[in-house]
Amino acid sequence: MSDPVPIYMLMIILALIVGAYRLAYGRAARFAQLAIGGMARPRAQPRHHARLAAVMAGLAGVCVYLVGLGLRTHEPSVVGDGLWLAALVGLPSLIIGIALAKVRPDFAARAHIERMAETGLMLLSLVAVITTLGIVASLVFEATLFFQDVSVFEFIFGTHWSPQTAIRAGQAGQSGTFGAVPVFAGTFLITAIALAVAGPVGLMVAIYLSEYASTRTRAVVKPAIEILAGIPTVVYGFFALISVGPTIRHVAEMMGANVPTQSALAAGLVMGVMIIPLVSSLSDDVIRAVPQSLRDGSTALGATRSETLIRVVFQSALPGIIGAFLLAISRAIGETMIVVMAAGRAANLSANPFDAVTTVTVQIVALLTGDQVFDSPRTLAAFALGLVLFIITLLLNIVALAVVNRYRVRFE
Amino acid sequence: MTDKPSSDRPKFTCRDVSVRYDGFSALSGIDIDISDRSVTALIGPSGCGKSTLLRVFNRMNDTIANARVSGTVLMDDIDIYGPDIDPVLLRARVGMVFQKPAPFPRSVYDNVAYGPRLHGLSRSRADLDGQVEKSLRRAGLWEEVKDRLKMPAPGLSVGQQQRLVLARALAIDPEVILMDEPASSLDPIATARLEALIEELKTRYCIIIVTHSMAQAARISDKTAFLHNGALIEFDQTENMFTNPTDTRTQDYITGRFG
Amino acid sequence: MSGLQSIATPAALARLRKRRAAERRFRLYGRAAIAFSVTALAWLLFSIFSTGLSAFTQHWLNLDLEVKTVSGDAPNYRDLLADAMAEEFEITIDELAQDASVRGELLQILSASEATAQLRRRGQVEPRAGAVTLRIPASDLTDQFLKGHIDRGLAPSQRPVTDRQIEWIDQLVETGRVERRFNRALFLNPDSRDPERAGLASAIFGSVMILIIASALALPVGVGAAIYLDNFAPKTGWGGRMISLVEVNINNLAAVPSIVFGLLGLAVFINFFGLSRSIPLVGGLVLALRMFPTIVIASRAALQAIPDSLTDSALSLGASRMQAVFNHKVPLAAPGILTGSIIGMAQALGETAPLLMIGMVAFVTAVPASPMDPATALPVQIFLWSGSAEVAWAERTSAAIIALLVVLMLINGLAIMLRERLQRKRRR
Repeated sequence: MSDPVPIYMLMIILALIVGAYRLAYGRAARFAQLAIGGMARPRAQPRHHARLAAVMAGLAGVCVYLVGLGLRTHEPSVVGDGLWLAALVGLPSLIIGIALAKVRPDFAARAHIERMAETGLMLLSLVAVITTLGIVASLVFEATLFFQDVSVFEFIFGTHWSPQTAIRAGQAGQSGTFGAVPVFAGTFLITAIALAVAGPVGLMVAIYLSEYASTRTRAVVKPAIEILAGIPTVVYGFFALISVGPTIRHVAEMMGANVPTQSALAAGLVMGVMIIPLVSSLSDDVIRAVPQSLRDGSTALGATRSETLIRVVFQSALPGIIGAFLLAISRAIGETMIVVMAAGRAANLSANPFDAVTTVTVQIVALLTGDQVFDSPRTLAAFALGLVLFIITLLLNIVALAVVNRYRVRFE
Repeated sequence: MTDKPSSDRPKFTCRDVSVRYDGFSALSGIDIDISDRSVTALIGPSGCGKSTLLRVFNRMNDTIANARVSGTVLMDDIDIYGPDIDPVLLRARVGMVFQKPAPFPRSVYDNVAYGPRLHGLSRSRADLDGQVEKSLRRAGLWEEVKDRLKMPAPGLSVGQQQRLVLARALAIDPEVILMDEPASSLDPIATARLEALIEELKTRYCIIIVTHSMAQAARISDKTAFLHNGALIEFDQTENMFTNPTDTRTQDYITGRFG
Repeated sequence: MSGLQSIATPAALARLRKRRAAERRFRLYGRAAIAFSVTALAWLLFSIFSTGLSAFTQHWLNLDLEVKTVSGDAPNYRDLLADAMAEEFEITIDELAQDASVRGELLQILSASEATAQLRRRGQVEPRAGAVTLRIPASDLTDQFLKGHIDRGLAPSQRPVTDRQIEWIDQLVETGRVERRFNRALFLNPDSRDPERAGLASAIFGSVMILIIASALALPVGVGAAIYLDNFAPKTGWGGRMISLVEVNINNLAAVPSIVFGLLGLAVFINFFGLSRSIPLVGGLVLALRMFPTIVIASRAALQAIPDSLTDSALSLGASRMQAVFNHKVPLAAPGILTGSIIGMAQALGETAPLLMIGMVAFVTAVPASPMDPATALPVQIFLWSGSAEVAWAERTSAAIIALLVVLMLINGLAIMLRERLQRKRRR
């Protein structure tokens, strides 16, 4: 097997497609001309006949090609290249023959080709469903393998996370202990810090920009917020590592405390900054959706601007704002690079923001990078964590999107 | 405050009032005196500036960016555009009802209590309850909603909503009520109720109403002002205006030749 | 006090003062939030640029050395180099014998790996001893010292350069054998253990291949799905319910953490289909899935902005739904679709976590020639370099980030430009 993917066969398929198009076009063009001479108008134009023939030929060719490729990889003895080649030319030629026979004035080629195109487009939209199913299937499959070694109970309620070393001989999983509570706690701590930053700041940025800021301020601040949204997370992670972490340590030292460079606070703060654009743009949408008539009603009753904003706009937009916060939480929980680089890997069970903590995503990265044997409890644990991460973020997203949508309907 | 004896001096005195938006002149050189305890109607074709003039009296134009108001507007001889006037305080004395009723998405009670809570008008819960009831009674809504004060206000009918926002405005104990085409989204029955209410309220308040219905202006107002292209064309007793207009444009408008 | 205030009760006035103060406070919170965001951005950019800009230049050394021999079966080039340098700096053989660390310190000031490689190459061409002129990069230590990133005022134990090394470097500078040049190696070399030789070439090639594969898959599929959902999908009945499920699914998929896509890639493409780890093909496949929902959402927004009246009038002229959509609606929506897709590509370029999952963290010292060769990607290279302790790595990581940010800015600028131009053309 010299050529892993025979390119020349693709060329043959291309030639067959072109040939089918030309032949069908030629046949159809003849009666199209007759039609001008007074016969009944054909039900489709030559190019529709031609396209149909070409698509049929192409589909047949590609099918033969893929089947051959698969068979050759798994059963090389059964299928020789000669047989493959013969099928590759033969089947499409047969199809072309049938297609050409169908090229008649009363054949509605356009309707056929359009039905095929529509089916093709529908299949494309199913890619999303297939992806989701793929995610669920792969996570559940690998996690099930993991839970054969480690009990679900230990995983969810165990307070000791140490995938590398066995505490005692013969321990479940043999290569370590997998009590994920410290991991969940670290995730929660960092998410809380991030939301404490991004929630109020993002909301106030949205309010100030839409209600108070001058055109000039807006012209400067809006692009700045958009830049924050466009910066890759690995950059935020590096920023936390070289600037924010050391700064926190210095400040703490000046106040006489000893704080590691990698801390929940550094990661949480930077993650909060990263999420500000998300919160502010979602909040901006919902705040704008509050009708002007409500604001006018409040203003006419003698409310100041902030009173109107807090008591009417805010209150009306509350479901939308809650939805925005839920999406922010989901983003924070799933964020990886910042925590990998700035939060540390020690699985401390701690509520102190100055401690180094670890998160679900950090552990997934730690367990899966570097050389390791697949199917060991270590690597499978990553999929169990991934499953938890997927379920939690999915629930948050579903609730958030539902809340936001219901809110949108209310004002329309 | 509403019980003080009425005097002959006008509630509002406007001298040479102009409003410009971004170089576009919405109102120019308006001189008008509005009497207390009466209904003044502002009429005119769309875009004539009648709503802009209405918004001059409670400085709602301030909330529109780029709107500039010039001239003098006196309320009880006090310049309401003076440097030491806080529009928030002014609006606590000049209530307003808009074209489309926009109750806040909360309970009926909370809607009415919004103003008193804002301005700290009640000393106790019972006090607030009393104010809410009084306002709802004055707006003629009490009997309909007294058993469902806690229900969300957007669930009321449009006619009820419009009386609710009127009650909301009355609850801050204003001296003036501005109405911007209050009946335009109401059916004839609800409109009749509202008009009867206005008739009742004018014994206590100075009412200024913008309307596009000349019949309505004729029915409910004591004096009528006709505006056209941002200028005050004619201002007179309603009876005189509709029977014997002096300006041909007024005549054309009220006879339905334009507008 | 005059005006309305004069007839307001003192209590109301006191209350008003409080309300006005609350108003000012609220506005202040808004300003503070803005200031916080802008300061954070400024701090981030400043810390990256101030550390990274100096990495775009690199110090080079021009050394004329007397080498004892450059041929032979397996000469120890490091020793030869050290001896020649000792001679250059007039260090006697006694000194060398007495202090074993001198040789090591000598080799630390230049890129020893580069120098020995040059000597070896030279030995193959003309196998004889004699004068050798080496033009080689200074070591990261020398480079950092000359850039002023290592404080010579510190106690010798506190800094990574010794007093002797500082003397030698000063001597080289005085005799004009040091020059500062544009750091081409940063863009042309693949990764290396030595900071002075490490470059982004394999990462750049890897990123380009990943991006091409991902866009080639995600763009047609995503746009096709958007066209279907917007124009052909059933709206009512059973089919409608299925389609609304598909839509919810797409919205949720867009918010699934990117690391989960990495797990999917690991489980499906590598474990199930048996593709190799660390190759751009798998990276492209994974990021294609990641980009897909973004592109569908952006394309749908662009399609929905086109009024129905347009397709309706085409339909009334006897066009089929397919023709009406593809000939009239899609071309008009193209600018929006394109902009959304390019922004999706920019996001994919910055993705790191899913690539870690499929093993693109390998130490790759060759520029990948095909999508089946091991490679890294730009953001992954940043992650890899950021983990190294030496000062030189921090500088180079920042430089790599600057390169990434510039590319992202260009891509986004391109998106905006294309949109403007296409829209102008349409108006004409």
